[in-house]
Amino acid sequence: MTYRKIPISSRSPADSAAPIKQNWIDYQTAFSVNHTPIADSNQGKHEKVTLRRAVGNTFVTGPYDILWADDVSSQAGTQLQLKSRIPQFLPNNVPNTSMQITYNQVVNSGVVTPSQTNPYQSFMIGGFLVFLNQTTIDPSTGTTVTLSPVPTKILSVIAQPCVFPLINVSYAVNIANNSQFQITVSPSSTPILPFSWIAICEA
Amino acid sequence: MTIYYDPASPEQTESLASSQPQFRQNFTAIFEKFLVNHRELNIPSQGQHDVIQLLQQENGIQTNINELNIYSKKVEDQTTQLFLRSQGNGQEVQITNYQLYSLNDLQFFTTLPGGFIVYFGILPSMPTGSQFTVTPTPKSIVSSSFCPNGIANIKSFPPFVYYSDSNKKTGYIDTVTFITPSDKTNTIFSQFYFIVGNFA
Repeated sequence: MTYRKIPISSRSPADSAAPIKQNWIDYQTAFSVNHTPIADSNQGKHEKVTLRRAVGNTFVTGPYDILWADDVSSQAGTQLQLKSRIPQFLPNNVPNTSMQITYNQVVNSGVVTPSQTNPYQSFMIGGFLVFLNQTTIDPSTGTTVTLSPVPTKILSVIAQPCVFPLINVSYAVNIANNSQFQITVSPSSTPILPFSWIAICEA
Repeated sequence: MTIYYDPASPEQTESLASSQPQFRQNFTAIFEKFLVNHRELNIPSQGQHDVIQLLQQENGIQTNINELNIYSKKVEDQTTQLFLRSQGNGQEVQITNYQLYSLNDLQFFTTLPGGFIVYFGILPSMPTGSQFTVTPTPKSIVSSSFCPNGIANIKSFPPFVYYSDSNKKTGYIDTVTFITPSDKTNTIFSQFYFIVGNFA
């Protein structure tokens, strides 16, 4: 199927009728990709949107938002992600950078079981990963939690014990490297404690 | 050069020969206009999208059953933002609400659907009574969580906090004041923080 620039001036009107008709058929076929077909009551709406890796301009120069797919590098490699840009908004002295909307993986299965590995994982706009779980902490040694998928950098960790208040028992989180942090408890003679935690990371 | 599409061509009284120029112009116009946001005609991926430009709508888009709408709309005190409306005129959800940018190496923010901003990062050790004003300014801090950063010792407690308006007249609650949780020290341990603000 080829959409043609017709009719050709050297041809008669009768000869042109068939290719003109074929053009409309081909256009209808092309329009049906991603869209509700022409001659349907919902014509022009989208059935789905397949985004090829963007090759065009993705800047915003008016009152509109833009969505596109583009390669984004992370600790997991370079992958195609959904990106967005809105019109320039405060503050006006910083670049109107694009926003990474998606990440290619989430972990949301099974039941919540205290574990040092295999945390639940989601993502937030901007290329941030969110890990969360419950972990049993041994105050005598502290407990190291390992994140997967491996992020580029751990940015913030909020951990708290899931027990009744304990008098004079304190705790802290120490970031060991880009994929591990350690939860420690003081005094070290404290009984084993369950903690819940959430870690925000750079993908 | 913009090629104009003329939906009234050919006219009923015209011969096909005299309609030829407008025919060609219309076909060319369709070809060119189809290029906007889409892969061009006559290639295997024709009809798929390069980008999606969503022009600002004056009002929220209505949705029928079995439809999901994504569109842009002006938000008061903001710019054109991305919205989602579920089927059957379900709740309209604002997806974006701020232009993300880098604050510094220890402080970050992002947004959640519904007009929320999430602030997170690390705060240094500070005297009790110290204040932390989040940036960008929310209408109000909704929730905050803190966790001591480092190795646990007798001083590593999360602080007690209260919220206030840094400008004392805007009514925007954007500041956290830290109070040490015990009388053992006047210093707040370095803290990880996770704060959620309402921006809508």
